[in-house]
Amino acid sequence: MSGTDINQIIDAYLDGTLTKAQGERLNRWVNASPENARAFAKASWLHRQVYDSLHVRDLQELTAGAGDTEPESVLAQLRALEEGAGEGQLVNLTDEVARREAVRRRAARRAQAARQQAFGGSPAAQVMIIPRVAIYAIAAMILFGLLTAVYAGLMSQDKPTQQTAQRPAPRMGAGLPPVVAELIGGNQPVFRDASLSNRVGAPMRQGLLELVSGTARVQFHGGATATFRAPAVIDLRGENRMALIQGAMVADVPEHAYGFTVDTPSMRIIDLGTEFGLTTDAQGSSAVQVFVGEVNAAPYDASGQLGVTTSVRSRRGLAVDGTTFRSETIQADGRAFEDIAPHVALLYRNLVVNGDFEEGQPGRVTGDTFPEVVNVAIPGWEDSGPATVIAYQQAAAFGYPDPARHVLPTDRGNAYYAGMAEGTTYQRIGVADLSSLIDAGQVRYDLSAWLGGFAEQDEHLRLSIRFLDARGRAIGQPALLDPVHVYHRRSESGFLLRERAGDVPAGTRSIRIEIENIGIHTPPYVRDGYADNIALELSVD
Amino acid sequence: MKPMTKATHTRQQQQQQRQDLAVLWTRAQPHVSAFVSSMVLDFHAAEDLIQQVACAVAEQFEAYDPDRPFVPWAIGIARFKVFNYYRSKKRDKHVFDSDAINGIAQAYADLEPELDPRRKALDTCIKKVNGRASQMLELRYIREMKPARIAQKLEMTPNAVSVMLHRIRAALNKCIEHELRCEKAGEP
Repeated sequence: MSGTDINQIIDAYLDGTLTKAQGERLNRWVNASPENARAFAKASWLHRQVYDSLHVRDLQELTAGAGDTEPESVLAQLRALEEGAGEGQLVNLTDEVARREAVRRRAARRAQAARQQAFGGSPAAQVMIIPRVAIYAIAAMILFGLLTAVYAGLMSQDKPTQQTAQRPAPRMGAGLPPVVAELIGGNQPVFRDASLSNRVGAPMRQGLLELVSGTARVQFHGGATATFRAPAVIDLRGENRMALIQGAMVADVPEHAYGFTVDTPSMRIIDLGTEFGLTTDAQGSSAVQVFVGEVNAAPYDASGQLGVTTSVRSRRGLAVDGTTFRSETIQADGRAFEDIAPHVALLYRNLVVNGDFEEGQPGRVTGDTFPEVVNVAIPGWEDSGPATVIAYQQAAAFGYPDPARHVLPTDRGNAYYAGMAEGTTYQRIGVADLSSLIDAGQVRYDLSAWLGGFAEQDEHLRLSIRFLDARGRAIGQPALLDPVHVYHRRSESGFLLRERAGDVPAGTRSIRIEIENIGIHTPPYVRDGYADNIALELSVD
Repeated sequence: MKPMTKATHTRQQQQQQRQDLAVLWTRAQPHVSAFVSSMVLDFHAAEDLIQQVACAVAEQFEAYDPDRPFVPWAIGIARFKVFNYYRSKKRDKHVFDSDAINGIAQAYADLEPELDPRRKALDTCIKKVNGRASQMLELRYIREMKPARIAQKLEMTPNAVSVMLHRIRAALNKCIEHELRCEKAGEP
């Protein structure tokens, strides 16, 4: 292989354009001699040094240009830059914003790392601030607020939509910016700007807002409501438009506020009449989770251009990495927003505590002809008669369902439930936080479990849910899973999956899930009705 | 003189240790960064890894033998971090096997004395780059675009961009060698 060949292959490696075959050749070549490894080290060293040198120079130029300048005039400079740029020239406003934002993020990351090293960790770590990092860190502290403001200001200059075209120009004109929303609640919100009132009904003007502590519930004049959790940096851009630069929020958007738009450093979300949660971290990574309805979400790419719009429906989400701008579909999990929207934490997840019976210690099976087992306390459950949990592997030796021979739950874990006497094992799940959706008839339930029994015996379980009102009285009819009888199992030990779905009746404030043991045996012999992987999930149409 | 308490003595020792570490790390960091970046091509992932190496170096500093060179020791720690990173990203394609990683780590340790003068020379050389080459470097290193994206931007083919980047790097290397020769000869 000639020198030119290998140098080109090394460059292809550094530029991320290496083919698989070239990669194998490069690996072989590096392994062939220490001189080759040394040549590779020199080439890759140059690559990193060029990166560092250019970034330090770039940041120094930015610092020099912005340090004594107001955000508005930086904005004006950037505008002039765009207007002055001829066709075919490299610089345009979008790229410049993206570039400055990329620099800001890198600077912020380095500043954060420097802060962590300076104020936290081991004593030795306190001195680990290095010259290049220090340059970025100091510059970052000067630039962070300024560039955030510039970036946010520039983002609000996006091509006007139907909503934004009609609103007055922000910040630039004389007088105060327009009021676009009002504070309608929250938990002791404190804003960075001490002049902002935190009383209910306080008007909120277009512009940047930093929530330092507490939570704040804001009603936009366009109809959308958003609840924010501190620390959060928010840009209120209009009556139906905002940006979440950092922090967490849940938005509730009624149909008449259709089109409510939220930008983050890595994605844009356009609401189609829904409720969604959104987080943006310090690196600009964002994740949207849809709890009700549907949103359109589009990731930005590294150059600041919007990518392909994706429709994200309820129980799904989209996460975009703020560094690589890669996006991936995620499952909605409202627990991340439990403090600002407790009801979403009840959706799209199994609400049964220890429904797989993996918590706690299984009862040990002993005995010869007639196996015996002790009843055990089952975490998360209460019982009105003895009940136990059995370990699959340990019990199989005594004739219980055997993983090697019988049909068992697919994701069964270690243990399953077995009744021991007449009685009921139960738990109660509070759903009062979902009352408005339940009473509107929008909440559905999905109940499922693996139910089973032993050989030719017909002892079995009845698994049901009962809907209870605020005073604990039953509402409507209980929902019962079809029991698994001996003939369903064809007289073989094992389990079968049972499922049932339906509407949660209006007025429901809690749900009681019950396992009733049906059969003839008495303790210490196990009543051979089994259950595993019990799940109750609520969803919104 | 008031005798020094044990606690004061320990504090002074710790302070001295921190100062030693600061000096050593400041010198070693560019070499460690370069090694990590040669193994992890995503600049941001590399930065995260470098921070991890910095923490590990601080944590393990008591085990460092001051009679031995610091840079190879720190690169040795970085090598383990790279192995761990590769393991955590095992679904991604990795070009180098463990022998190659060890070989490159050793090469970086051996190159240490040469790299500081080279860096100074590079700082001079990079200021001389102008015109389209300067634009190309800005797109590749500041805006972090890959050749295909640069090609779109400059209305070139990706291959032409790769060739141009290759030539710029070759020119930088040539310039560095020239600067080093001048430095050695005492020329300005």
